[in-house]
Amino acid sequence: MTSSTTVRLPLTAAQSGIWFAQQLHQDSAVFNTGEYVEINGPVDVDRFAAALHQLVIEAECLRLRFADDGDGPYAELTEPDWTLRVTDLRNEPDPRGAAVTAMRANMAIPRDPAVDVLFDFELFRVGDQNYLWFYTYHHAVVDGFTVAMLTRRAAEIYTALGKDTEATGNPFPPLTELLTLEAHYREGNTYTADAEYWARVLADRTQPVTLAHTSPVPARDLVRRTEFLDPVAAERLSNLAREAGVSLPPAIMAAVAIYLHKMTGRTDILLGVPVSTRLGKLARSVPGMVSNVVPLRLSVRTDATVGEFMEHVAAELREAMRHQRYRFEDLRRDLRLVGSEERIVGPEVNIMMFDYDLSFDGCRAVVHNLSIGPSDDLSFIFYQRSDGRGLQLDFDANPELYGDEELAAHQRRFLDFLRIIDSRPDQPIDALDVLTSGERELVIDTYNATAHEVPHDTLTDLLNAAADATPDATSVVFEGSELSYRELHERANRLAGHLTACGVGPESVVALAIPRSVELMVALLGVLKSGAAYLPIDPGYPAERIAFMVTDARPVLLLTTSVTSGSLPSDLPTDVLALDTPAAEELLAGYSAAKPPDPGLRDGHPAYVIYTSGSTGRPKGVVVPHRGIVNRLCWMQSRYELSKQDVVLQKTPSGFDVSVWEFFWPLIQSATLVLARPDGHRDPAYLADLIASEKVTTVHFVPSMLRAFLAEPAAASCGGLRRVMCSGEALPREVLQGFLDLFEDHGTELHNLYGPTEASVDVTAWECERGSGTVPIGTPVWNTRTYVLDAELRPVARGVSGELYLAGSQLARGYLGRASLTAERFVADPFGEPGSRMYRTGDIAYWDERGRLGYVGRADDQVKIRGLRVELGEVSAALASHSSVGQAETVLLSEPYGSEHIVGYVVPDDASNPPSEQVLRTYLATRLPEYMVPTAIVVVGDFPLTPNGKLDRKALPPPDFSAKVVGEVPRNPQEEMLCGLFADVLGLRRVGIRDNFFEIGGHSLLAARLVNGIRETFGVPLTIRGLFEAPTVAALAETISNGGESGSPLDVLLPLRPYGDAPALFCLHPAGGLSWCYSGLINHLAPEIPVYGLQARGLDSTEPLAATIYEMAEDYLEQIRAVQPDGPYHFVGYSSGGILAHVLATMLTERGAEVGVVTVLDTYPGQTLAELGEQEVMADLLGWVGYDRRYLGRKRLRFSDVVKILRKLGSSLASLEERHVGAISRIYANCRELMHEFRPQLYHGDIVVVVAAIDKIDISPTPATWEPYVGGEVRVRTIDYRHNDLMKPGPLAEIGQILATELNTYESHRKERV
Amino acid sequence: MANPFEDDDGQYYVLVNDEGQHSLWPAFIDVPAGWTVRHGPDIRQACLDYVTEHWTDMRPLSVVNGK
Repeated sequence: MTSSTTVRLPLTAAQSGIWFAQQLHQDSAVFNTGEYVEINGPVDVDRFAAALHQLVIEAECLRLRFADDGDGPYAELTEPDWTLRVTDLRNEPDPRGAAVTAMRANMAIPRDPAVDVLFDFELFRVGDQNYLWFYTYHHAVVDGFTVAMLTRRAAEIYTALGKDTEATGNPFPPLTELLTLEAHYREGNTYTADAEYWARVLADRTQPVTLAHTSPVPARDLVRRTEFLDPVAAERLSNLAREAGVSLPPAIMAAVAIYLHKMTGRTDILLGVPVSTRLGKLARSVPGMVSNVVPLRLSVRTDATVGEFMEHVAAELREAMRHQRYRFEDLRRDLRLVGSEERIVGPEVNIMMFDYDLSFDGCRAVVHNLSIGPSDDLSFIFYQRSDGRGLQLDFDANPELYGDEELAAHQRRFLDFLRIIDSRPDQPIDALDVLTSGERELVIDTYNATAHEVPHDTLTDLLNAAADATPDATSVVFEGSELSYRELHERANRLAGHLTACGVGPESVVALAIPRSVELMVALLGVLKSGAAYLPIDPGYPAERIAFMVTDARPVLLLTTSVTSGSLPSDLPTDVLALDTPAAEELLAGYSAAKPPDPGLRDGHPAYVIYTSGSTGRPKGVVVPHRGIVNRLCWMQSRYELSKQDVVLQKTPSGFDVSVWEFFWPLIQSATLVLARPDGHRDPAYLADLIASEKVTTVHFVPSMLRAFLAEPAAASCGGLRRVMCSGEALPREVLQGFLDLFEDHGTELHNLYGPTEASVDVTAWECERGSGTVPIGTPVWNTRTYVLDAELRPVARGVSGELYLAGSQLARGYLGRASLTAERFVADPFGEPGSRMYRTGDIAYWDERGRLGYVGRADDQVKIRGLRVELGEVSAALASHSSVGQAETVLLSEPYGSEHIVGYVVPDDASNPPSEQVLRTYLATRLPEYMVPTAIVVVGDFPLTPNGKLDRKALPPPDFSAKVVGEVPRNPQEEMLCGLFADVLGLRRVGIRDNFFEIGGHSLLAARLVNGIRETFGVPLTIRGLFEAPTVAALAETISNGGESGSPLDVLLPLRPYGDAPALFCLHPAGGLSWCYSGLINHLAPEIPVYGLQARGLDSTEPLAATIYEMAEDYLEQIRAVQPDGPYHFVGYSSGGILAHVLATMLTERGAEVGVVTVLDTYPGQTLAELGEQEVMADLLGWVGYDRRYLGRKRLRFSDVVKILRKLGSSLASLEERHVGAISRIYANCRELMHEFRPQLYHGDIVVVVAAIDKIDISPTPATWEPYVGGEVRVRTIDYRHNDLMKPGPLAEIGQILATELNTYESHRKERV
Repeated sequence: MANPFEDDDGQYYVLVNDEGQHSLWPAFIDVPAGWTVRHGPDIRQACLDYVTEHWTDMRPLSVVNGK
């Protein structure tokens, strides 16, 4: 825009809304609305341009530009600089298509309301007698009503100019009229009444209905699909409305609401309805942006007829329209949703009834809309046109939420549904079916056509067959030892012989409490060979849970090892045999090594019993027959083709059913099974090493563990993997992408599988590929049917969420000894063979348009913690069983990085005597496995309730992990760095050195991140196990300093990071003598570079201070050569440390040693340092941690206050004593004296001078000051900081990067030389 | 999402198939082929109690009969 007048206007509320949204997404073009008018006939181009120029002068809104001067945005009237572009496309093969493409390209340009002209016009000639007038307006200046007004006015002016008469005077009142109307409204009683009305309507609102499967995200883009309801059906719809006594808009809204109800099962439907808010003649005459969206809350009564429901909608709509001026932005504020992405309304319904006759000097013109602005979810836009094509239906959707196929399917189905409604107006809503018979056949039969021949063998048969086929192949590898198939089976055969002698056979249960080991494999096979089912018991479980499982399942025998048996409860009601005792070995040696006789095992007999969490507080044993697991394994072999050369990693604990295929798939295919060491499954670094060293080709990960594995640098060495299986929880898209980024080039496949224990491990599978949206769980496996059903067990349409039911040969027999629980979960199957059953999973899923299942979430309180199934009800029940607890609730808390915690909430029995969290945690640890124990337990006075009287989970206070932080301050720079790493990973403000990582919110996945961070910072080979053994900063610091040889942090040599094979970087102290400040560099230097500080003598002693610089330098050289006898030596120094760096480099070169990078931080020879007393030293200490001394006012600093502040900020400097401040002052004075007028000698190498640019003035020394003392190059690097701030975190980070680059360059040149 | 098997106030049947397996079943939905009504209509808990009392050997009949 060229010039502007000084008229300054406030924004309308609607404009403010758009302005702020555009500020949030400045590169978004989604607010560009646009249309084109098709003019049939000759157009006088000059006259057209003149008409538009007059239009722009008349309509103030087109001349607005926005600005913000800090008091909020305002608008100015300007004189926009624009011309009408005229483009002749008659020579194009498809002139009209080319024109529309050009229009869309124009609308894709983001427009900045503060700078750009907010409209654009272009006239396309697409035929001799055919023109398209394109206009685009930014939504901040016009609304839909205005666009129509402007188009009509343009035609009017054009026509009038043709008659050589002036068009009538400007019909548009100034914008201030609209602003006055709005101001009056907001000051009046109607505004208050409207606010009350909406508060009442939305008081107990629920989550808005949506057809999308993912969480809401604001629109940055738009997709549109256009279809038509044919004229006959459109006419029938109009008739139906008339018969119901309503107009077309409420009839259409009713149809949309019923469709949404049918698709989602929801009866509380909140639609958004765009409205003009222009009540009254004046409001309807001013162009501008005042449109609004009002919520339309509808309650679908399923026994009402369509006609009755239309009446309900018409009544609600009338009521809503009365209160339409109340702004949507104000509603969000009232509902406290500002800044939140939560939506108030579901899909929007926009009905454009205004079809107007448009003619440009007698030439008929028709409007075609291109975009009316963004849609956060989905907008149903109807145009009633008189062009004979029926009712036009545009679907405008947020492409983040809806895929193209999905959108097209909804649109087709909705149009079909409109025809169904037309034909059955008197039917109750209940009886209308959105599913066509073709669709029903598709989702019930076509997608489930999985029948496949599978042998009637048992798992035992398959295992024996492989042993017979390849007796000498390697079956199992564990911690360096190997067993052939023959050796493994012979040992298992002897055990089976003993079990049979104990009376074990088909239908009996044998428990196994054995950590991962060769013994575990022998026991598994031995039990299966005896015909019994095995019951895995994790020896790490609390005694009470083990006792419960043994009592509940009544195993004939419990097999264990001598070490483990000691940790089992002593009075278990079963016989216990420790397999590795001499007595047992002697006993088993007495049985035959030959294959035992067939115990009469059939495929309907149980193969294993695995316990899962139970919602009522009691775990339940799932009984899986051989038929199920054999089907699963045979399908798996056919699908993934394991060869004899393949190596499968076994790392899932045996209590979780993923372990079943890990154990047996390789052993029935004559492949090799590698067992991870016990506890190894949660250590990504160990797993990566094992996968690489044992040449593992096949491995399983729970998605959250896969994320941790991908973050492990050593994962890059696992390119030998052929396939990775994922299951246990939803696979996030970004984990999939991360996997493909790392493994795609190696040809490693990633498979996403889904299934509950109740259906033999997995029932669906999908091979992962790049794409967008939710990662599918795939299609059903052999002989398996998957149904997505509504609340009346009817199949739902594709794209619609429903509860997932499973049927087929992988179903478990049921829950051990729990008849009623079995009867309510394994129920009659209305779609399968007569008498067959289906299992209801409690999972919510949907079929996508390609016939793949998508996972949405749970219908109940079951959650997954790192892939392990947990019924929150079981945790609540365990909490509530404590005598001090009145009521208990448990929720799942999601954190960034995809980690999740269980958090318990308790209302104490006696409010005056609440239980401590520690007491409750200890109590739970005796009852629940570790992964089920809440990370935090919060005592509350009462549970917050929703208006419906249910627990209001959102209103529960979040646990305050920081409250558990004791916060003892770090004592040296290493501890301070560790505290920082802990706090970062845990998301806490600060962490003390004695705080246990696992008690303040840490868990095994976060542990993997922490360990990575520590390894990168300190360059030490720490493992997750190391963290479990040393879970506090203090303990870890000891581990890192090689078992406590850390010495005093005030020694001359300060090992900041004493690890790494590369030449070290030595940091020379500034004048005060301390080198702790350099610890902030470490994070930015490669982990293989050791870092040492050199500190002045006398910091912690009464030793005499150095008498000359050379005496000081000799002392330091001795220290340096003790840790690094040979060069190259790298130096960095700040203040007098810069001079020292140069001196040391000179001395070493003279003595024939190699010197590397010498970096001087804003220090110049010949400078005189300022005088500093103790006051200034203390101010400096505060300054290093970023605390401005001036916050404390002008009074003298007291040492105790300084320490208090340092402690509060978690700085290790707080561990200094008052006498140290005295020492620092003395050392400073001494250095000042020594440096005064000191002239260095010539150094025959390069130096790097980092210049702090901000406080330099004309007379400041420049890097050139160094030139007389440097034989090589003086490289200057400038950073925008003050000299005194260089030791603060921000500048240190930049210095670290400069150093990293210099060291890197030096190292690569050095390699070239060698 | 409401599940027809989880309505504490609803009416249910207990169904049994040829394997002797029991199933809770909402009374308002047609009984699938191959199942016979053994109890009900009755309230949910009463149906579950019936199952607990009568389905004591949970082995499928084909397994019991050694097929």
